[in-house]
Amino acid sequence: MFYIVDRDYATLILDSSTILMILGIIRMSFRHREKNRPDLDSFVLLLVINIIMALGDTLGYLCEYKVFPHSRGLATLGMTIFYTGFVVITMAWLHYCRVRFRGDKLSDRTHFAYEYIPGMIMTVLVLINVFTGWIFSYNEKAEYFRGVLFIPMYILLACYIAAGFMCVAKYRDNNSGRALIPIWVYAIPILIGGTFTFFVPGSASFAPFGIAMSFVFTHMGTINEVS
Amino acid sequence: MFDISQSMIVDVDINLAAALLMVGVWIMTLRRRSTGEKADSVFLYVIVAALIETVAGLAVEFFEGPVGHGPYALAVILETILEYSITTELFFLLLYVFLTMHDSMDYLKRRMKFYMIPFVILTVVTIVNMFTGIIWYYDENLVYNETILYFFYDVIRYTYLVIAIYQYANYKKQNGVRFFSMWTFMIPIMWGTSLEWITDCAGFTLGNAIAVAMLFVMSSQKVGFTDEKSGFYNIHYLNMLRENIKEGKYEPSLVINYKLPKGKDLSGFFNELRGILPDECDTIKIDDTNFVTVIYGSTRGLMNMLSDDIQMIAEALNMDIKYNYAIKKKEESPVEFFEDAVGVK
Repeated sequence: MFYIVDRDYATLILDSSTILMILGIIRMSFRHREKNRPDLDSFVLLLVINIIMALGDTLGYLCEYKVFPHSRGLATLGMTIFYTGFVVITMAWLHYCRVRFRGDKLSDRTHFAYEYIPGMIMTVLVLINVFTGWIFSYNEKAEYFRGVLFIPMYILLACYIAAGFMCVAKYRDNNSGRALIPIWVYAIPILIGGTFTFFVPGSASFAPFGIAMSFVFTHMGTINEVS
Repeated sequence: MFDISQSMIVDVDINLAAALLMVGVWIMTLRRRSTGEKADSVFLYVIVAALIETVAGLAVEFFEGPVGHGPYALAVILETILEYSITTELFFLLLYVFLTMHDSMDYLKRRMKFYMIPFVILTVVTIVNMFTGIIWYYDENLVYNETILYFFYDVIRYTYLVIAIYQYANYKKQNGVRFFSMWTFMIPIMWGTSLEWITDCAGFTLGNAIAVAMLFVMSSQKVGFTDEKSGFYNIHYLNMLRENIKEGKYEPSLVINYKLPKGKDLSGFFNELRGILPDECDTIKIDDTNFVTVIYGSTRGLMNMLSDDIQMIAEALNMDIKYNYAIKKKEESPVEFFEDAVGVK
């Protein structure tokens, strides 16, 4: 029978609060929406993927390290959703930065062939991880173990996130708009969230919350720079 | 110095997330450009109070029982800071709502004496409690306890929130409210409070932090649609307004187009213009010399008055200001009227 322990409350509270915050921002984005703004559409897509990540994270953490029927399967499902979302959101973040700060159009497909291939491959690897265990796995007691591709996956995610921020930095260099806040400041929440998740396996995941904070701050902060 | 338990880790996690969020919002608010409205400076006080609350909430986890071992005085000081910052935040939130609805210090000053009295009482009671424990106290195991008076203490400070909601609801009935939604602020607070009741974890602090972050997002959206030089809305707002009119949210009845002289300091004209325009209108900057005012609601006789006022302002400022206007006919659709009058498709 499913049960909740103390450590689950942090996950429940953090993830549910992340989802609530994102839903509020999506609602506000739709309330004051201009048409033909692909950058805003990309931003909302980022937030939607973040919600999916938070849901997967909740399911995974609530089921892991517990023994009840299907706990291992549910934990695997939850973390598969989480890591799939994590990979996809970093690609979506790069896409958002390019559309917003570089003016890329969806019809311009030349960069799709290259930069996103590693991400697509990693997405497939995460999806088939249930059979391979190369990213993570759970034993019969639903104890979590990292696989051989866990660190390469994190490196890939970090590359996509950094590429997005470099896009923002380059935009600032090329425009006379005031750079009010150093770009690395926006990356702090995501760094803290990712670091927490990486170095403290089994702890409440800051990742969805940190990601949401970074993306929202970058979006809102750069709105304020453009007159 | 202190033991670590699961419940402490949970509370530290949650408070840390809330503190990070508030630090981020605080930094962003300090460095962003302002709309020039008085509500902006009060908003910073709301954020600072929320930030202090989250930091104090995080710190007190390490000193209060049953896991923490004090020192007792430090736990009391931190908890006092936490409780008082909630009171302060609610007080400044009320001021923020007032100034968002009515961008006028006179309106606020008339009511200030009335609203300051409970705040002063709460301040005195909070200080007295540090030495007497009449509202809340720590027992010999440093476990937090509330007295019966805590209920009344809460009622008084949350009355500020109730008044803010009432003012907002009243204002919204009479005028449109573009970039502020009380529910977007209230829902995270209610959510956090419910989580804290159910789980006994620090849900309120995080809910409150998210609520303040939502306020920040709302005000940032407004900044994003505001032209820095004139303080009026920018071209992005025009595009959004057109979509809103198409959806039936607004019905323009009068549009005034201004052609202003190049190379002149127009700030005097903008200030005078704000003084003569009705509340229910939006003024939008198209480019450096072209502006448009969109007026909603009844415009009977309004254009005659405005024409005289604009002429007077132009003469007083010695400026060559050209303008034309269009009044919506009954048979016209709002969208067609707006697009023809403003000259955008």
